[in-house]
Amino acid sequence: MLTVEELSFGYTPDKENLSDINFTIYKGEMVSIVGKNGAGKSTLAKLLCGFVTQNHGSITLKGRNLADDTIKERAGYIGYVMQNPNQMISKPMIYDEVAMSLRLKGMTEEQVQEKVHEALKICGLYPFRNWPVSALSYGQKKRVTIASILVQEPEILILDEPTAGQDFRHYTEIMEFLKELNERGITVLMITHDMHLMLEYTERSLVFSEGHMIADTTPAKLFSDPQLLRRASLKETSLFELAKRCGLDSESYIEKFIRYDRQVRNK
Amino acid sequence: MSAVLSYVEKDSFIHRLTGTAKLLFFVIWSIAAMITYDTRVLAGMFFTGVVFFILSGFKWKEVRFAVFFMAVLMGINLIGIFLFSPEQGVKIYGTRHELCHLFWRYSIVTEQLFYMFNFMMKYLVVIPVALLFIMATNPSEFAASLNKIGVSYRVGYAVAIALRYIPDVQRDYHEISQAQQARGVDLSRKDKTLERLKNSAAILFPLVLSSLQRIEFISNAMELRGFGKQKKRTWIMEKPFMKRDYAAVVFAFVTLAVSVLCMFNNGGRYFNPFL
Ligand SMILES: Nc1ncnc2c1ncn2[C@@H]1O[C@H](COP(=O)(O)OP(=O)(O)OP(=O)(O)O)[C@@H](O)[C@H]1O
Ligand SMILES: [Mg+2]
Repeated sequence: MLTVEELSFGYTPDKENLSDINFTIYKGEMVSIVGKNGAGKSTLAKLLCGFVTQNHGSITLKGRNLADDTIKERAGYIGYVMQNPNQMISKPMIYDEVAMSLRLKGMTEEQVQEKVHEALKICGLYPFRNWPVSALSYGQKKRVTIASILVQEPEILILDEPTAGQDFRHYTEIMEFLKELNERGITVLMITHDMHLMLEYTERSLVFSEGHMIADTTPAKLFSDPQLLRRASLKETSLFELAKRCGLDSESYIEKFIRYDRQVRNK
Repeated sequence: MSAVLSYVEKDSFIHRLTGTAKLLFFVIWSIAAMITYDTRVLAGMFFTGVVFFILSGFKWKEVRFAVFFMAVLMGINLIGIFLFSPEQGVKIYGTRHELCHLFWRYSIVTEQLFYMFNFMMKYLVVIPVALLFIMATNPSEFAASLNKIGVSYRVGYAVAIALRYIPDVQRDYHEISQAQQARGVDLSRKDKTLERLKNSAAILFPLVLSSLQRIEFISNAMELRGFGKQKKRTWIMEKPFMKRDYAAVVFAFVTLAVSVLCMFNNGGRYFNPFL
C-alpha cells in the first residue's frame, strides 16, 4: 500500500539524516519503527507526511506518487501524531482542539459533535471534554492529539512514541484501541523505544540506525539477534531479563507470558 | 529551512573580536546613528557597515530573510511617518518645495522626501551592524561580555539563553505550522493571503506554550545545578581583550565623534541642503 523507494533526506545540505530507505507497508499491517535517539525515525514520519521534502527517492501510496501533494492533502490519508503534544495543540479547549480539523472541513456542528465525542470516548477523554488543555498532564495531552488525528479518519496512522508518558492502564487502553483500529483496517506505524509494545502488538519491525534502515524483520527475530538489538537500543522489557536469569529461552517465554497476560486481562 | 538571526560559526575577523568589543561597538555605533540626521555621516556609516558585512564572509542567502523582515518594518514606519506628519520635513528644513499635490493634506514635498530618506538611512546604518553582532557573537561569549561591562551575570545569562534558543524556537515554529497544516489549516500558497495571515496567528498559541514550557525546564535545570548561588562566576568563553578589540572600540568612538562634530557644525541634528 505504501512504498518508499531509495528515500534520502538531510536537514542541511552537508549531512544526510536518512539515506537510501526502502520498504513497503501492506494494508492492515501494524508495524513498529525502532532505533535509538536521533536515528531518523521522526524524520521519516515527517517525510511521509510531506512536512519535509526528500532529496532523492519516492513515496507512493496505492501506486500514486505523493510528491505533488500538500501537507493538507496528505493528512487526508496519512495521520501523524507527533512526538511532542505541545507542538500540535493550538486551541485552549480540548473539545475545540479535537473538532478543529472537522470544522475546517466545513462539517455541521452536529456531525462534528458526534465524531468528537466518539474520538474522545475512545481515548478516554470524554469526561474531560469541557476542560482546558492547560489542565492536562503530558500523557493526557498526548491522548488529545491522538483523538484530534483520529477524527480525520486516515488510512495510515503514524504515531511517534504513542505510549511515552502513559501509565500502564492508559498504555494498555491506547494500545488495545490501536489494535482495534488496526483490525478495522487502518494501517498503523508506531515509532517506539518500548520492547514490550513492539513484541506484544506488532508483527513487523523496521530498525533504524544513524540514518539507515538496518533491518526489516519480525520482533521475534530481532530478539534472537543480540547485536541488532543493541543497535536498535530498545528498552529491554523486564521479562527479557527475567527469562535470561532463569536460563529460559527468552523468546518463547515472553511470547507465552504475553499470551497468558492477555487471557487473564480479558476475563 | 535555515535558521535566521542566530549565531553562525565562522572564522572571520569579526568573529575573532571579543564579545565585549562587539557589544560596545554595536552600542556606540547605534548611538552615533541615532543622534544624527546628517546624510553625509549616515552614508559614510552605511558604506562602512556594508564593507564590514562583506568582510565578515556572510552570504546574502544567510541574511535575506532577516533583511526582508526589517525592510517591511522600515516600510511600515516610513508610511506611518508620511501619514501622520506629511509636512515634518518642511518644519525641519524651513523651506517648502512641493513637487505635486496628492489629496487632502498630502502632497509630495522635497523636504519631506529628504527627511524620510535620512530616516531610512538610519535603519540601513544599524541593520548590517546589528545582523553582524547577532550572527557573529557566540551567545555564551556574549553573556560573558555583558557581565564584563557591569551587567549582573544572571541578566547576562538570561539574554544569552534567549539568543541560544532563537533557532530552537524557529524550529518549533516550523514544526507547529506543519502540524497545523496537517490538521487542515491551509498555509500553503494555494490560499488567500488574508486567510493565511489569520491562520498564521493560530500557530502562536502552541509556540508560546512550548516556549513557556521550555523556560520552565531551563530554569528548573539551572536551579538544580546551583545557578545563581555565588556573586561572581567565571566564563569559559571569555576572551582577553586584544589590540584589534581596542581598535574596533576606538573606531566606533571616532564615528561617534564625527557624528557629534557634524551636529555642532550644522547647528543641530539635521544637515540642511535647502538653504
Ligand atoms: N529540524 C531539524 N533541523 C536540523 N536537524 C534536525 C532537525 N530535526 C532533526 N534533526 C536531526 O536529524 C536527526 C534525526 O532526528 P529525528 O528527530 O528523526 O530522530 P528520532 O529517531 O526521531 O529520535 P528520537 O528517538 O529522539 O525521537 C538528528 O540527528 C537530529 O539532530
Ligand atoms: Mg523522534
